[in-house]
Amino acid sequence: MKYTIIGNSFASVFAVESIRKTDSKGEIRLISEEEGPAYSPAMLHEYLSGVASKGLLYLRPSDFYEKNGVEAILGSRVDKVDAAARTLSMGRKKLEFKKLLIAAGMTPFVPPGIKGLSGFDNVFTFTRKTSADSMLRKIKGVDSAVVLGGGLIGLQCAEGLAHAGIKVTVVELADNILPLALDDDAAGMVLEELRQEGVNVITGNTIVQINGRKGKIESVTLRSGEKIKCGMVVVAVGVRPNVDFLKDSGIKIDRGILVDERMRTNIKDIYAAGDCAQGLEILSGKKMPIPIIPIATKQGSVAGYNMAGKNEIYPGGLSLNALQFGGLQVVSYGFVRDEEKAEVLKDRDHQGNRYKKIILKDGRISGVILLRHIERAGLFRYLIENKTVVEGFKENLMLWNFGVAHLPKDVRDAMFTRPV
Amino acid sequence: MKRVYPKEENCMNCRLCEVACIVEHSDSKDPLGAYFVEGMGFNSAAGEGIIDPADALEAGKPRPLNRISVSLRGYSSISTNCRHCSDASCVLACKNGSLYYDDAGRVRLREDKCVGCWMCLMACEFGAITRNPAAKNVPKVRKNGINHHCDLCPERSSPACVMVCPTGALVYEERL
Amino acid sequence: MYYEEPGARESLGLRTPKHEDLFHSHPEYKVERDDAKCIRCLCCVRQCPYETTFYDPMRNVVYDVHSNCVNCKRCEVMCPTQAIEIKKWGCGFRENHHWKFRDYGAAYKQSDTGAVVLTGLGNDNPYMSYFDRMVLDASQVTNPSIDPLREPMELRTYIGRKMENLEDFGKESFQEYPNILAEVPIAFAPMSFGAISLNFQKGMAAAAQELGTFFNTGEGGLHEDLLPYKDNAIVQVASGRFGVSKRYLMNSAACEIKIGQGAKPGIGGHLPGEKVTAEISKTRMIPEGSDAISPAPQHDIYSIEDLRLLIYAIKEATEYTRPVSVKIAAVHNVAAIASGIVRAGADIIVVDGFRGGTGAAPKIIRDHVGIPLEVALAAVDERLRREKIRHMASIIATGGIRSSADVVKAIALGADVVYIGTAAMLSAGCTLCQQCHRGKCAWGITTNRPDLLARLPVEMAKERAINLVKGWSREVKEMLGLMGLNSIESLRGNRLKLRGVGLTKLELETLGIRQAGV
Ligand SMILES: Cc1cc2nc3c(=O)[nH]c(=O)nc-3n(C[C@H](O)[C@H](O)[C@H](O)COP(=O)(O)OP(=O)(O)OC[C@H]3O[C@@H](n4cnc5c(N)ncnc54)[C@H](O)[C@@H]3O)c2cc1C
Ligand code: SF4
Ligand code: SF4
Ligand code: SF4
Ligand code: SF4
Ligand code: SF4
Repeated sequence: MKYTIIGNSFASVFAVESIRKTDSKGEIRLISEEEGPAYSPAMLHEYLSGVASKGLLYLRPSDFYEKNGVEAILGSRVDKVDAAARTLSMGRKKLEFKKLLIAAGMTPFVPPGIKGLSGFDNVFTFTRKTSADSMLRKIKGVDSAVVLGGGLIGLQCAEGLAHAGIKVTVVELADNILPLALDDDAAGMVLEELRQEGVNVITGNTIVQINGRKGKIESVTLRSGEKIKCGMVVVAVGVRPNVDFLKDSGIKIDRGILVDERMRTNIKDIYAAGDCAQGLEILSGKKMPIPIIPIATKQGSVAGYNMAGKNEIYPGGLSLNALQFGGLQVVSYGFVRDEEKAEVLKDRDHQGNRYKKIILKDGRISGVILLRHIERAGLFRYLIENKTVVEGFKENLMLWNFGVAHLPKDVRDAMFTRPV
Repeated sequence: MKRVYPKEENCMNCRLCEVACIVEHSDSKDPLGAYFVEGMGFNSAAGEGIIDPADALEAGKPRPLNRISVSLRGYSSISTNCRHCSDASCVLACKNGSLYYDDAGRVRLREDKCVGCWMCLMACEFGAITRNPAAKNVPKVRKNGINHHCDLCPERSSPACVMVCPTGALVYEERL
Repeated sequence: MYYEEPGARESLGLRTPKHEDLFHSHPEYKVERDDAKCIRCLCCVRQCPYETTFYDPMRNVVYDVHSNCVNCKRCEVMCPTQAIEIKKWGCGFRENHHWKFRDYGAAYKQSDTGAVVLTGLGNDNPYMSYFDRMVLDASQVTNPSIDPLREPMELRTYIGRKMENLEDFGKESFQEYPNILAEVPIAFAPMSFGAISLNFQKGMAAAAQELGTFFNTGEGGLHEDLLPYKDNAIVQVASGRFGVSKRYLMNSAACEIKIGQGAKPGIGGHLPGEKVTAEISKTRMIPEGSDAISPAPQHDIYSIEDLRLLIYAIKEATEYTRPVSVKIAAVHNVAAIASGIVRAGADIIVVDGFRGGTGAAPKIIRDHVGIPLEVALAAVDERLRREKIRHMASIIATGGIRSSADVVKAIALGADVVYIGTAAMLSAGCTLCQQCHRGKCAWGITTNRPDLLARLPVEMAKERAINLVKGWSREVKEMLGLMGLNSIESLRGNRLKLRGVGLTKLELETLGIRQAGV
């Protein structure tokens, strides 16, 4: 068995494809804790609300594993990796590996200090299809829910529940929702949109206690003392790299698994990619986990190429968000709240309900938020990732029709005269 | 793989490439049919490709949209479309695997799968993806649509936009 | 730029002419759009350089300010559904035998503005064309015609001073003069970068190279992009002396002193400062944005002797390696002037007839000054022959050559080679709208606005110019063959091959040809 992959999601799927582009024969074994083919966690809220049919959930056609010659061991959890012995164990079963990719993703973080959290059935997290499935089983008996956490996952879950006809309240500890992806102005607009979708949001507050009887939730008590009636609680305060099973494996871990520019860990022939990995962030130059799809796939792909012997470099990533709440599209890049020593360009078109903000540091873009008018947004990604000095044409950036022609000629040439 | 490259010094902002693309992707393959019969009177050209899908939907079934678009600044214009990248950012970003490479290496869309999350639009460094409000796979979501980008005219030996450009401002060739 | 609110008058759909442009704004043409076919692609709106066509997004209509239309045909050609037809507006103004609108329309414009009326291209007054009153001979029975497809047919000719006599050939005392070889007797007329676009100039340069003939820089200098074509360049030295240096003179096949231009004999030129872009300023060696003024006379030439000084200054500078040409407009005593020029040492003399084109000239001068090329050419050739100095210079005829027949007739009248200007522009798409002076040529020929320039890619200009000259060359060969000739040089000055139709005795004499039928 030449390649072993832990995980069956974005990073793993792209790793398989990259390996196959380079090495059409080498055997691939893929192990995942979850049953069933690879699906998208980012589709769970649409699955939950029933707006998306089940087929839309899966990342690849059903013959994916067969076509790529992948031996998929699904429904088995790897609980230990022994880097020195080059084995991994699943319960009592032990497997040897030659080249290993760890793409075990993230796991939800459940904060301590909420009284009554473990006493009830209807408390969920929202990162796996299994949780969505069990929520679906319970949803009929419930007419209201509280979601703890106003981040991406919490809000998506809340919207999904609202679409399923449940009265939802989101409780967020910070002063505003989506603190990592949005600034206050943009968050305000998203909030407005969420209200229209039927999601109520409380900020600057948290749940201290879950109340109920006989395992049935009746309400939650907030730090402010307020009580909210509900039949279901979803905890979505964040995720962290899923690395607990690697304790004592010899693999170097900070917050996530530390990887270099080829997705190699400190141990030869062991790679890591995706939400569990901690790779380079290009704006800060530091290594940090960025649990988003485009990073997971890119890292998975780079890892796959390198495992199969092709020299491919991961240039580093940055925070990239595309969200949609109700009828509002949101795109943001980089650090959108860090305005220290920065020049901020901002335009809010109240009538068209559009918002555009660009943060410049040292003549380069370090953060962008676009609301509703997201056309050609990716050009900003290009400018950020290539560290293009935009000082000379920054007035163009704010044009609503900002497009390719507004870039300097040398940038255009670099973009459009060679294959990518 | 052959791709479409702009030759911007030849581009004169006539936008016949956009027209050709629209006609090629219409059912009738005829400009009058595409614009009048299939289209329901909203005009992307008037807004330089800025379309609010919602407005278009309210106006009725829109005609096919251009997959190539001309960007104009002062007297210079350049017409660009999807680069059909290998290891494309859009494919990497797609939330549910709606984008894929066909046998020729083109980046294509599974039209019945895309949910309009705009991860691809956010990810594409070339601004090559637009929103097509005509289709929708997630009915309850308001103001949606699906990914729209160049498919390199699979039914033609040479793409429509390249064929029609009067000044050779688009070149279809293999480059290294 | 296309969607800005047009003037209030137009948006109201009301025409309330202001007194200062009462007639100026009266339309000559009408843009007729078949609304049932208009798909609102707005191509016409973007393509019209003269602000004729607009789109109103509120009403979703494309509409026109007809008075701005100059009938350049750009929109008509570009509309993807052929929805547009440009028509003459109504029945036009009243004309009578004496007052034609072409004359009094100018008076309206002047009453609006008080200015000199400018125009482009050549004299379009309905003067008689001598070319159209001359017909060619053909061989029948007594002498055989030649089939150019089966037998060799030579179009090449040497331009420059020929040797005095052949007796000294091979001896020390034998003097040879620099000559340039044209594979076809057709070269591209002087048109300066600034007046025409760089793309068009490059196209002609590349075409000249491929055809084995010459293009002429005009008075605007030699742009560095044209250096690869320097062996096919005739570089001009005009009264403004733009871009002239030793290097410039050496980057050439031949050098040409420009004294006059058929479209505007006796007056200079003026390229307004706003047209002097960075590229033009570099090429002309003048500051960006400054007016480029060519004085009416060359300020150092007031006599044939002065001209001789300049000719020899150029010969010295080029170490006698380049033939030197002198270009004059066809005027009344052109033969005597030509004789003087040849005696002053010119190796080539260019005669530019009154139909010759221009990038900008006062309309009144273009239309009324100068004489027809045909008579000037005949007179010059005749005079040089009579004075036995014809071999000292080649004659290039230019100014209104429209077809291969004109080429053949001009050569039979005495020219060695012809220059084509307007015809070259036609190959690039010119529709004779005569707006060259406005610098917004819809076809990218006489403009340097980048978006308009893009309409004429160099390759396209080149291909089309080559095609035109090739087509004409084929026809010239046919005509030579039917006259029983097998080389262009044996046609030169061969006026027996011409006959006049409907000309007076004096005209026939002046042209040196006989009446048809005799
Ligand atoms: C509700 C939700 C919404 C999201 N929305 C977005 C969004 O809109 N945009 C965006 O960019 N990102 C979004 N994300 C994040 C995105 O889903 C992740 O970045 C992406 O899934 C990461 O992929 P991965 O392959 O690294 O890991 P994961 O998707 O976490 O997959 C990990 C895989 O490893 C397996 N596994 C884990 N531990 C073990 C073990 N010990 N043994 C065996 N198998 C194991 C799991 O079964 C799983 O198959 C969202 C996430 C969630 C939960
Ligand atoms: S690329 Fe060609 S067809 Fe398109 S606008 Fe430019 S010139 Fe016109
Ligand atoms: S849409 Fe963008 S990222 Fe995707 S292949 Fe085309 S150019 Fe590349
Ligand atoms: S190649 Fe075809 S699909 Fe792509 S932009 Fe051109 S015309 Fe449109
Ligand atoms: S170019 Fe033709 S189809 Fe397009 S707007 Fe003009 S008239 Fe209508
Ligand atoms: S493009 Fe030419 S013909 Fe058409 S409206 Fe304008 S000026 Fe008239």
